[in-house]
Amino acid sequence: MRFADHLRQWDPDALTHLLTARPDLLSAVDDGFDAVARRASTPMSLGRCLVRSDVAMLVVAEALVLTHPATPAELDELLGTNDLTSVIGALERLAALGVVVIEGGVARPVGALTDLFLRPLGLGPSFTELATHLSSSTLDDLATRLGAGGARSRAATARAIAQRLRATSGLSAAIADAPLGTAEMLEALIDQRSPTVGLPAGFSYQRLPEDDPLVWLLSHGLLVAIDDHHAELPAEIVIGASSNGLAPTAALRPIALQPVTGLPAETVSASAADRASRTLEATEALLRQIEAGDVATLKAGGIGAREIKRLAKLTGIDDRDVARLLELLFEGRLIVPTGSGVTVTPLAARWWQLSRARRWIVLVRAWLGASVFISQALSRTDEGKLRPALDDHEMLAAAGSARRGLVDLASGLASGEAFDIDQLAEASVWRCPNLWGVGHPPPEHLVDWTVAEAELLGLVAQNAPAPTLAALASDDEARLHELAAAMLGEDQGHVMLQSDLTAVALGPLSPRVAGVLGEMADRITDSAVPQFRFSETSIRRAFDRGWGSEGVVEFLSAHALSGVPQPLSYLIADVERRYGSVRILDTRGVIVTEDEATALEIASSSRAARLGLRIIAPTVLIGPVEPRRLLDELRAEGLFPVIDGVDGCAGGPHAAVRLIDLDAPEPDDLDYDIEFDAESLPADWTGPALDEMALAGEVADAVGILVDDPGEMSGEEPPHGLHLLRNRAAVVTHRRDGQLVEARGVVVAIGDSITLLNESGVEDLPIDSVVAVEDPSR
Amino acid sequence: MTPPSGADSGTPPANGPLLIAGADTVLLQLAHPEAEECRTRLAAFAELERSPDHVHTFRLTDLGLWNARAAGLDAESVIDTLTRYSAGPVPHAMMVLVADTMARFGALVLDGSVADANGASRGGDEAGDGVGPASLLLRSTDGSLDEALAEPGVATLVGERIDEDRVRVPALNRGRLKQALVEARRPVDDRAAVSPGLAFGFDLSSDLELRPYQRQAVDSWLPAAAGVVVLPCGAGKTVTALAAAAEVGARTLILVTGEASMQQWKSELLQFTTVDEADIGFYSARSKAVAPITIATYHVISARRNGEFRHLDLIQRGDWGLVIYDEVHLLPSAVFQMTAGIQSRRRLGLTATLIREDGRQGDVFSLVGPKRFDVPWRELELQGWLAPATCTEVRVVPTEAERLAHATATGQEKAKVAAGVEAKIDVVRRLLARHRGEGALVIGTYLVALAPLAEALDAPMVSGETSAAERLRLFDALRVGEIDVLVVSKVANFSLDLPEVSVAIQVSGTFGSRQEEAQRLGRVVRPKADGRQAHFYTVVARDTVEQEYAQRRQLFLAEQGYAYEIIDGTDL
Repeated sequence: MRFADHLRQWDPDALTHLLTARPDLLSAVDDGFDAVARRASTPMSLGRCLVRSDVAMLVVAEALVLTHPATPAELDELLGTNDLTSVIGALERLAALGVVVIEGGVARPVGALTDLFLRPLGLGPSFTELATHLSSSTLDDLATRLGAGGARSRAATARAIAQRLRATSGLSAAIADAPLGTAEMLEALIDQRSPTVGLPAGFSYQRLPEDDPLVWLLSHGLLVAIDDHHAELPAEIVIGASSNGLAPTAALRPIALQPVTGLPAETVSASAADRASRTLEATEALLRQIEAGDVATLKAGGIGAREIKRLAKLTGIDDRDVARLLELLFEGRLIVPTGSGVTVTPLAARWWQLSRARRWIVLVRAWLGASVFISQALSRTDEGKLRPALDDHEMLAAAGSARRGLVDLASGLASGEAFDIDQLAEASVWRCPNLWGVGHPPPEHLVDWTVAEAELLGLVAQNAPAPTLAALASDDEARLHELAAAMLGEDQGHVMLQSDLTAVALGPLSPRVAGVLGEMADRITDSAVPQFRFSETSIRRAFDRGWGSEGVVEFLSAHALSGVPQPLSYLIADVERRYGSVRILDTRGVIVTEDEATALEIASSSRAARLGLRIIAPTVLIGPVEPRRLLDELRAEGLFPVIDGVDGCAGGPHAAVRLIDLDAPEPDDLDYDIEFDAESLPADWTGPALDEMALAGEVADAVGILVDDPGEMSGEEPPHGLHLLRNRAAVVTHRRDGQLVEARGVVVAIGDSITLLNESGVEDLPIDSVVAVEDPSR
Repeated sequence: MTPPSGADSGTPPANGPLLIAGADTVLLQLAHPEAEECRTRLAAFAELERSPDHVHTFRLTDLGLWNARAAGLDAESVIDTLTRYSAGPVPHAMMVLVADTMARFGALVLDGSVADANGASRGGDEAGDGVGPASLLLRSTDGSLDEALAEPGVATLVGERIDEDRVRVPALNRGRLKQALVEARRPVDDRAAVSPGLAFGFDLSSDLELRPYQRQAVDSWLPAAAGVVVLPCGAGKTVTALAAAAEVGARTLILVTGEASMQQWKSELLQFTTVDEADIGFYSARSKAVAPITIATYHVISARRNGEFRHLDLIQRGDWGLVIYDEVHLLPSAVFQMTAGIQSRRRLGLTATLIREDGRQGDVFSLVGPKRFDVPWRELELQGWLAPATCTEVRVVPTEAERLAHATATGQEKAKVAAGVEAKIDVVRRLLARHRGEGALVIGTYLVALAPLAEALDAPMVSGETSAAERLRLFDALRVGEIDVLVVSKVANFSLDLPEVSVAIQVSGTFGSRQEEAQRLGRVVRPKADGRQAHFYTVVARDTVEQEYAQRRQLFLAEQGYAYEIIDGTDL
């Protein structure tokens, strides 16, 4: 029966399974079963399918390619596994994927399966295929050695030789008179589990001595040169040499995790819940930051280390976690890079509306389907550089396999059991060996990354599965939600407002309430029980965002468990009273007139309205027009304005109208704001230590008063104000060489002299020489 | 390391009053029926960070956990408490934090008698401060000595290496080594011998009965004879210290913050012990008398001339058996240096709060010693040892002229202008009228504003310029009810015992200092004979720098758990 006819007999579930596992067949569905069968039989489609197959399937498929059609028992015998059940199981899985067809208890490969390169057993082409590359004399000679001569055709001779080589006795007979070392070479070629042997450049066995083992094998047809550079080892030789079977029995069976003793189940659950909760909170904080439009990307793409560290500082999240969560948000399609930054997608708005448990599940699903190892964002490359986030780094095929392996395998462990990373790696590789290919980091590294990612999400804690992992593995959405809800708790809509101006949520806070509270108060913890602190600044921020005091109080009253405490009400009222008491006007030009009449004249002119000029004081007008244009306009009006700098000095002394150029450079300002840092004292500083008590004593000594209580010296009105200057910038006028000179700096000590610390170092001014000490900011 | 599991203790996680809010923070819900007993257990190992009306915040800090370890608690019992009272499961990260931090205390031990390479004892040599062994032995109990010695500044403080786990330490370096190791998160369990000092026996007065918590504080401190006792203002720290000194029975040096405190200590020594007046010496700017019980000010100890500390040798001269540090949170750095050199003497630190504005709590831990006893004020209030207090901020509106003066003033001048706002006088008058006969202190920082206020109120004033004798006379007058109101400057912040005063009105303060707030509040919370409530008012000029300071004060008081109310002066 044709494969297409087989497919026609499949029930819908089986077909669904096929199309789910082999999505490349979907495009052929509209054209009918024949088209699907044709597509399914192509080497490319079969290759895609087998690349995700387990070791047992690959081994059985390889054996079937060599000897088909075959019954499961024949395959078992060929493989020498003595595990008929596993062979049948592997065949059934292959059949469900449309890779083999089983009919009347006999299996045969579908379409181009014979061309596959996926050969875990290391079996090459059969001798019958390779015989075409051999001369008739070589073929006959080999047949004679094996007692297989006399066949009627070249093909029949080849089949007879192949039959003999499969038996250990046949192979022994074939190499009975081979030169020393030939058996060992053959053994080495078999052990390498790759049928193809590279030949040295310019190699020609005809010209080499006969007693060379390689030459002997090639000249005797046991290794077949297929071109000038390659030779193939016939599959029958490998079979003949494997007296204990081609594959170890274990190869057909999945590797079961041997549990190691872990932490108590309660501890695992608690740790996982804590981590899941913190990750959810951190993700929300990060998303809020991105919503604020505040994340930049590198020119080359991705979010760079510096930006990640900045986000980490802003949100209080560990920078590695920021990188991972950015990946997670991207994989969940909640954010997307734009040309120069990152923006949230419409899905983000829907995500916020989900319950806490659902929000977490979205992240978990995003992780499960991610095409990269999210843990590798911000890790170091071989060149020592930090990998940006969202940069397609380490997009390894093994990522999905490693995650699925962890989920499926670890979820099978009982409560209180943990897994060993190396064993988990081994078991995961068995499930999909072709995805953990050459060029990948070692499997245990990949599994280690995967476990770290699962820990971030709270699916695993201390190498032990959280209860949610089993629900995820079984794809039981309802159970997963139930467990997630229990683990993460419900969003709370209320907070406890306290008289120390804090708001404490007694559990996870709903994003909406948290978002609004975040406008009115500063979030001081990002834990599952968030805390906020109100301050003048935070209330002012709320006002800046359009809230009024009534609205703030109303919102707080509606979401407070215990009412709005009086100090908080006062704080809100205080800010409201002062909010806007000073107003800043946006202006470019300021017009100052000598008298009120001129100002009124300008204000009443037709140009005033056009230029947007308005009077803000009897002789002052302002407008959003730059000074040069104002100059021209007012001159056109018949006035004689000039332009001043902001110091008011540039214009002519007799000008009736002055225009002040706000963009003119400011006059040099005095550098009062000298930062004082004790560590900036010179290394050889031998002056007094900066100690308040000692300073009090020195002041007492210097000014001759009795100070018996250091508390008094630190704040009470002293007989003079010298000590108040400590650590402040000061201008000290003193006599030097009969001249009055000024010295500036930070006062670091006062005693017999005033010690100043300034840019040129430490300067000691004898107290007798000091005439005046002034605060430069006055 | 693997933390002990709370679940192993057999106590299932309960729906308790504790909420876990991060790896090192727990929140206590006061409305929960188990809140009080939970608080008592928590206080033994967690630092109370904020204690406002509904939810108290406790933090698991290095010092808190080491103090608990020093007091005999182990990680298992800490985790057990967290598990027992938590509303949900305790995360592994928190258990690891507790186990890892607590395991650090005791990993390094300082022993007093030195066994040399042959095992012979070499104890009893002269140390740097003249007493105790000349060299000590630092040993590790977990093989971490190499790591400890690799910490910054440690290698230069130790001597000869004896073996893999032991190294000699010159006695002179005892304090500095402990400081350096605490800095490196490797606290040293100092079990080295302390010097007995010269004997000086005395008893407590027969009519003094220690309160239970005072007895407990002494008993907690005595075995190690080095450490800090934390008691709220008004809880009788002085009496507790005198009881400890009586137990020690040796010459005692008491370091205090000022002359008023010296008088206070002397007065209590005479009232509550059998010590004769002749055996008490004052060592201050005015007097340099050294006696079996010597009371010195921090100021005089740290005073320098030409860069040298002139009075540090007071410590060496007396062969003191005990050094008491009053208000240990105020210990100036010079006294820290001095304390580092007297590690072989018994040390007792007293304070109401271990919070240091300069963050040097670690130095108190390593040099004076771990916290040996702590009792929350609320517990004492509930037991009736402290008067309940209400805190009220009264707002007054400055005149236009005052606003202008404030606006144009700079720096501290602004605070002075705000302190002197005239409307305060009327508000203070009305507050005093409201509490007539209850005994009131009007406290301020700026004499320029206090003096006119005292004059307007017709009340006597005590400032730094008032003689000690006059101060004592006025305090006594207030104590016995001869006067009803006393205006005081910052001299009243510390060590002033006026138990019957139940009203404090502060009219100006120093930049919202938390210490100052605690100390001023302490003046009024001493229990009253008639059980009346204490009132703590702060009069604040609206829209001035004072309002900002007041907010800090408000935060501090609210965090301490006091009810805090704001009213307008016009509403009085």
